[in-house]
Amino acid sequence: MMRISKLTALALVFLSLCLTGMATAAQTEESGSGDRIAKLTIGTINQINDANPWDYYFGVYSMMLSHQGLVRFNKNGDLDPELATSWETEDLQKWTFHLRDNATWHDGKPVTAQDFKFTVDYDLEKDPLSKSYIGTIESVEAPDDKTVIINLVKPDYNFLTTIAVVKTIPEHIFKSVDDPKKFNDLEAAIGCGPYKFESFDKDAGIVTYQANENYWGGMPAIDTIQLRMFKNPDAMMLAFQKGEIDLPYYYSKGISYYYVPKLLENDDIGIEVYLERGITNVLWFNTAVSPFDDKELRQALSYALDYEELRNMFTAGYGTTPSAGWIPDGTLYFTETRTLAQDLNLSGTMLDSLGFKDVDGDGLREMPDGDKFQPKLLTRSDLPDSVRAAEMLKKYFAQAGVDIQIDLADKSTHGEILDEKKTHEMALAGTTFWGMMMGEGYGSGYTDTRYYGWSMVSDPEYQSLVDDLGKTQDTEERKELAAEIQSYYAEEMPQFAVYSMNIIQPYNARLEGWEYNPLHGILSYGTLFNLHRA
Amino acid sequence: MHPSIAGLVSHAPLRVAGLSSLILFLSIALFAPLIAPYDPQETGSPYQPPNAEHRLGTNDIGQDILSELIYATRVSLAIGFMAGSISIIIGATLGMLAGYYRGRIEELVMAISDVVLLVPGLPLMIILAAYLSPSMWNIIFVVGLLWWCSTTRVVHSRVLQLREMPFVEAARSLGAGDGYIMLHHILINCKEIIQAKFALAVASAMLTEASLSFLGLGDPLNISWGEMIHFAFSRGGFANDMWWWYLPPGLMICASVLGFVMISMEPERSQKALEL
Repeated sequence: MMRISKLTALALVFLSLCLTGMATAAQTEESGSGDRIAKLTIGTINQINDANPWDYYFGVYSMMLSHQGLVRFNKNGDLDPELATSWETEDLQKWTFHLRDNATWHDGKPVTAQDFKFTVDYDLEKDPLSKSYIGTIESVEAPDDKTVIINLVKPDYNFLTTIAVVKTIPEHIFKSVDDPKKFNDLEAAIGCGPYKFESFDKDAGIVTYQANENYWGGMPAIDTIQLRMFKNPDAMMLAFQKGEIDLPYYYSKGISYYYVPKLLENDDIGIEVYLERGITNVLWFNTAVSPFDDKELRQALSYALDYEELRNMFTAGYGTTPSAGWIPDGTLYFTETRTLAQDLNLSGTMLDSLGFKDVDGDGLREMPDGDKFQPKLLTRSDLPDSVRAAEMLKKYFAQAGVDIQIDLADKSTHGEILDEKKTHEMALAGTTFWGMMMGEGYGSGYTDTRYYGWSMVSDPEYQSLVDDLGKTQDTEERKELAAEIQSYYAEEMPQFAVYSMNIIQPYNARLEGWEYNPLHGILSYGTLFNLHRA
Repeated sequence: MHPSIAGLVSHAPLRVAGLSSLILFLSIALFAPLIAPYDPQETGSPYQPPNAEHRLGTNDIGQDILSELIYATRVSLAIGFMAGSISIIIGATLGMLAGYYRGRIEELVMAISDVVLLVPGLPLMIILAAYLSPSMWNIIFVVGLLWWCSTTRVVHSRVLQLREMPFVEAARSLGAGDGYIMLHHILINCKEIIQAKFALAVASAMLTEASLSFLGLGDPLNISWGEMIHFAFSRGGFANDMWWWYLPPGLMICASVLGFVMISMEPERSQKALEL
């Protein structure tokens, strides 16, 4: 009897876990005065672990709501003033920013140039990864409270894009904090943005922000923003269909296409489709390790994939077949390169000529030295779309006689390998709008070893192109450099897109004023100030 | 009906039902390539509802759900049997040693099992499964190493009774060694308890594997019933009411676990009768 009751208890736990994501949430929208929104509930599967700006996703939401940088992206993807009202540079190497007078921290203290200097120095000292994007900053000066001078080690045309994601932190809070990643005090989330962090209920998975009435840009349109985390996208979409959340949101992504038919039946739900400025899934090669340092092998592998089937399966009508030049259409100075297409004969011929042949007759190729050729494909285990894409890639590569091994890793391990250890052979991961803009743009931040360098390219020819982009202001020359870098990708294939899907963004249609920007999507600065009841 | 079969059914109906269900599931697992209409890895047109070609439709990457369901029986049963075997081998061995030798060994084994029993099982397994990389072997390892305690305690109690019985004393007085007594007299008399615990351990392991897989901590490259539900729940199956995707694996889990539980129920009663 005892044994049966234990089993029953286990079954109940299983059932309760099944139902966790479906539990009814608190009321999501309340009437405010006039057209104001009293509460906006956002559902997401982005998992916040600590209310600490160094937590990846808390950092992302902080940047949207509670923290600010010198400049920010607008709805066209251009840069607008934020804490800085104006800036100038003569040589692209020394940048001077003039800060606004009336910005204050959430605890009432003024935001000063010294705070920004402290932020950059602190980031570089405490976070080794920050060198991957602000490592070119030589020094920061704060000659007075409202002037920031940033000196770079080399000219950087794209510097405003880089500095746009550096969120300013208060010196008076952090100067005594040695390990910011472990500093989870309420003060850790003090920023100077339109929303103040209020609470993080880790067990319930709810983060709450309140409008900042002392914000320099005036009171935002929503009084309370509640971020509700879901473990599972279906649970989130069911909650959205039932009106429990106002917005299903993924940072830098939209929802999957298979949710659309149900949503179309609901009059209270609106759907917009935006051009993807990142790439949904990319196959990366570690070009610093053998045999992936051979471009012909990379090319041969690129011919193994059935891009049409991948597009149909993972994007339906919302995606495009990628091209060899890698850079997504819509990027400034995008050039047409050959569309990627499956050609198993060509793939096989190229692999044969490189010495990758099936010696033992098992249908799978061996390396030129006779060892088994079983490259590892690093894949995020927590993203079902990626796992499924990896399964499809395994099938395609097997058709070309290549036995890839899917190496599953959770988000942090996957990130650690790609960003720091660089022990991968091949990896599957998407890119974001800002990611494609970082470094000197055109995906150089992901490619060049001097930045994040997921594909570990240190080829002088490539790095010379990147450096030229950094110091060239002439429009025609930049256009030529952009074309050259895309030709480089098409020829060398340090990475290539597997498929890419436009951003499908549903929202509560009873609210109006949603505004999209390519960095933060529909949770943009414009939305925070323009949203109102329809 | 043959008299002996009829007698067995009337004497132990639950056990017969459980055994029948076990034989059915084992047959599905063994003859999967003959029964399944398609190769479960074969992809095609995704999200098809049940139709003449695909009786249970297709999943998110166009694989035939019926074929996947049939092949998943292999993975689910294999995980259940292997994890159940590990837990039963550890549990029965420790229980026998503790009950037979008593003293420090007994104190140590009972103390460890108390500690493991105190820790809530499923949350601990979730943490371990999340910490280890997602693979079928890690699930077997985690479940197997955490399900032995109750077997240890039951076997230990039984051995405490047996070691004092006259036939054990007689064997000992005739010069039989500890190993011989444990294998030939103690183990044989714990057989029914161990069988019952094994059936429950397999059922528990299958249920735990399904829970872990559902939560995304399973091995997505070895599709079990739990993994099928996981993908249905994370790739649009639930949100689009595709019952043909998530309901069949759920029913298979229920039926197989129920089968194992039924097998374990009758011997418990007969064991009690023997003790009386």
